[in-house]
Amino acid sequence: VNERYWSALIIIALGSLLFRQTFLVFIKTAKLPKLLQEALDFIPPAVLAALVLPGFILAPGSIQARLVAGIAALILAWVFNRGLLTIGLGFFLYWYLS
Amino acid sequence: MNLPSPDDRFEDHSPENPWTALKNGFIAGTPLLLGLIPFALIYGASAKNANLSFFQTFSMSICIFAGSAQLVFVELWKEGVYLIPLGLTGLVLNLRLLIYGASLAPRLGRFPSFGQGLFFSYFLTDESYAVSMSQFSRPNFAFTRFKPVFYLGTALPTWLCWQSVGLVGYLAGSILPPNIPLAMAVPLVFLSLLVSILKSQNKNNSPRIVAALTAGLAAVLLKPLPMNLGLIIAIFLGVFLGILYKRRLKPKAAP
Repeated sequence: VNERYWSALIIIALGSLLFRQTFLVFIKTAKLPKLLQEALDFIPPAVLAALVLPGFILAPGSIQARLVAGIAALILAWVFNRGLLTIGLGFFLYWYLS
Repeated sequence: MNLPSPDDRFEDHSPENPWTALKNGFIAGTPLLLGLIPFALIYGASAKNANLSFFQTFSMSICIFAGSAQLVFVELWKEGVYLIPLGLTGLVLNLRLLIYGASLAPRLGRFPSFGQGLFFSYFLTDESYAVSMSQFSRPNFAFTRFKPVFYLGTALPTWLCWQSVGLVGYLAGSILPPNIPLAMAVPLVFLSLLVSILKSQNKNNSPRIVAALTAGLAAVLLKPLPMNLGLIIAIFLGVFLGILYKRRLKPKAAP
């Protein structure tokens, strides 16, 4: 179990450091391939959504509480776009309902 | 680079002094902490909640130093996700650092030395990138000789805050009563990040929404796949459909 932790940590840490250094230090003039540039725009929303939806639908515990809190948080986030408000009220609602 | 001794910095406030550049970068990077503090708290608390040791939690903050990737790591670790999808998801999420580097490099100019370049690069984050880019493009930006030092200055408040407030979160996580459903906090953090990404640009956001919906639904449907490969496939499908949708939109939208 610990090996999995440290292996993943080292992979992500070294990879991220390499990503940071690639254009700042190693190849200062090269440009990214067009397809990768295009893909990068979609990675954060895809990763986050792939974690959010199962997090609300498949997690253990009361599904009603999670869905109500999740939908309320989604609406709050969409209307006000304030991180703390979304997290705080969504969390409170879930805690209250479960 | 010839750094003057610390005493000199009180005498020389001109843009020709690297300490002044560092200090001004630091000041420019400080307001962002307001948004960072809640995430650092939640990172620390959820790491504690996932039964990570103190050492594991802080090794991650020091080595990876990227908030969203760390939160995702902790969340997937808690679910017992396998090494390959765990590592790949973190790497894919941090691919954006490549873009930041590519976009910052021509603005930054040369690092004083190769070794310092390697070290300064470690501090590249969403925050230091955003602050440096916006400061460099100001017409009255004074520290043209010391842009790398200024950039380092913008990153230091984020680094100090991420490490120290994460510690507070970890300690808070260990005294929270067990009936507080902390496990729910992380999906809510991701939800708020997701929505702010989907709303962030005034250009057409529908391809990103397509990517998010695809990846989200696929992640739910593919959850039973072995070794948590469903997660990686879902991310890939979301990105792929987002690109396809954007390319289909383009010919019609172009004037």
